[in-house]
Amino acid sequence: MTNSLLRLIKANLAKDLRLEWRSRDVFNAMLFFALLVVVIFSFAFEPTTEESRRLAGGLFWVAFLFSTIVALNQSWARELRNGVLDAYRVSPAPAEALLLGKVVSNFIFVALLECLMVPLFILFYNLSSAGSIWQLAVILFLGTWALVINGTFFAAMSIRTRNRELMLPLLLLPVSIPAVTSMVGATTAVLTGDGSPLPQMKLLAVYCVVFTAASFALFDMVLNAE
Amino acid sequence: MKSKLYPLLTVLTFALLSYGTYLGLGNGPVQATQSPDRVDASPKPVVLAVSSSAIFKVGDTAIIDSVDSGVREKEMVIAIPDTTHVTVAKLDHVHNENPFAIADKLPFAQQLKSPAPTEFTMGNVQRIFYYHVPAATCAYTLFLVNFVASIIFLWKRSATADLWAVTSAEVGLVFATVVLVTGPIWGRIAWNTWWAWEPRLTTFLVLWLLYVSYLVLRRSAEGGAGAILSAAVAIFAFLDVPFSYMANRLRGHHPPPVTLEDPGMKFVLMVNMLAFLLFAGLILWLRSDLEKVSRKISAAHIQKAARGAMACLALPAVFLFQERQNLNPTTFMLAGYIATWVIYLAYLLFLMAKMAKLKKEAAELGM
Repeated sequence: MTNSLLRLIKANLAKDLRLEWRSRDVFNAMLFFALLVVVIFSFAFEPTTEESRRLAGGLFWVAFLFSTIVALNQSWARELRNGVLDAYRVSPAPAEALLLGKVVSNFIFVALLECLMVPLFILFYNLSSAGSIWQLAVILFLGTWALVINGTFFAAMSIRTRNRELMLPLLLLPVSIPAVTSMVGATTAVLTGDGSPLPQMKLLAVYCVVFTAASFALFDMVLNAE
Repeated sequence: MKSKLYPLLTVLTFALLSYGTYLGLGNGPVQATQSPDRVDASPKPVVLAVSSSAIFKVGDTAIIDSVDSGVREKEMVIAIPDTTHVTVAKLDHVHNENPFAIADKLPFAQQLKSPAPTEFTMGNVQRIFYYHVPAATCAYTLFLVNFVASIIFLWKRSATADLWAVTSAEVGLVFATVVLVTGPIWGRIAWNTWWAWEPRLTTFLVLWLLYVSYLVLRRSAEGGAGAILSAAVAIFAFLDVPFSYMANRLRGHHPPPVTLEDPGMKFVLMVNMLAFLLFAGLILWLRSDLEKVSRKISAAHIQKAARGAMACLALPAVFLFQERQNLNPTTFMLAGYIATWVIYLAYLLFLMAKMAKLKKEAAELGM
């Protein structure tokens, strides 16, 4: 049973990655969007090194939040166009495998995007961190997971509604506010070296666990909602 | 809509609301003062220093209340040596917080007739409290109803549970709007700013946003699928609240919470709390009856409280940018009371309009 679940997850993940590798439409759109946000913020604020340490955490996460929304909408819209969701509903495969495959593939896209954007951020904003880089890596991992797990779940929900793409930010942003608060808080604490980022990181970790559990518990109902 | 309990409950609710408002607005006697002393327990009479002994008479019962440690006792006043000292018969507990409150206990019959006293530092604007806190309690209660009803709906798939979920979310949002409008009016005087990114405020704002998104989803996805999707959102919204509170606590801004020490104020708050809980129940009942009728009529649609709320919020925003000193607490108090009733009445009018429309549709269909 676990074996077959793993195989299903792998099949879903491989399908998403292959689709993306061949078309590259989601990733390119996301990359360009994030780049634009970074450049526009830089024009809008013209920060000095001291200021940019304080601002960068917020700008960074806002840029990713918005580009994640672009990616997430696309990832389910593709399935809807090709009737994959209907096919999945009539198949005996568990819905959780579909969700997990989707979450992992979205996580990979956003993580790749981050790997490309972090050097650009450092370049444009003259950033140098006062705290540990490893902590930043952990925050990046947790923050991305928090955005992607909720985002994938709500994107699956929003494509079922009348106004589709428009619905996702309206659902995702209010629920993500606490997560964004703690990732920005933790990132700023590491960058400026003021105070410890650990309480915020712990909160973010608990948030990830709780909302991952809730997403998996409710996804079956969302997929089969009639 | 035909229940005989309606008129009775309506009269009772509005009578209690008027009584609560009268108690909140009227100027009652001050019953509490503060002592800067640190005193030990003693079986013999104790002299306590107070800000003013004018509120006490010999033979009265004094309530000695250390708020932080939660120690509270009632002792007989046996002598009043001068204007800044009071002697009580004995003390059962240690009061070593600085300062603690001493209040004069009124007999219940007299308490019923005494409106709330004016607060020393904030003045009349503190009276917004009697509308603000009950509205918050009602909003939290209604959102809890929404959460429980959503879980029951997902479990049993009962249409009644879904009906209670959607109506409690909408009515809860109206009360939450009152909280968010009266809060800043009070804060402009008490904290000298309209808004502080304080955990409780921020959590409440996030809560408000979550339920707006719940109702928007409700409107966007009607029918069975909409009910299931929004029940899932309701569960996410409820899970989100503790995180929201924690995340903002870690950010560090934390103006001190306001505690009520005066027993007169507490009594007025309790009256208003009861009145508004009844009021919330009445509106919820009315709203769910409307929802039932509207579901019977196939062309029914769910309207949002959020739209009216947005308009109410946008208009006064014009005044928010004015930098002014010497603000009058009474004006702000009245603004708070008026804003509250504008929101409640606007919502009630909206429900009336909806009811009239449904009746017309029902008549056309010959129901």
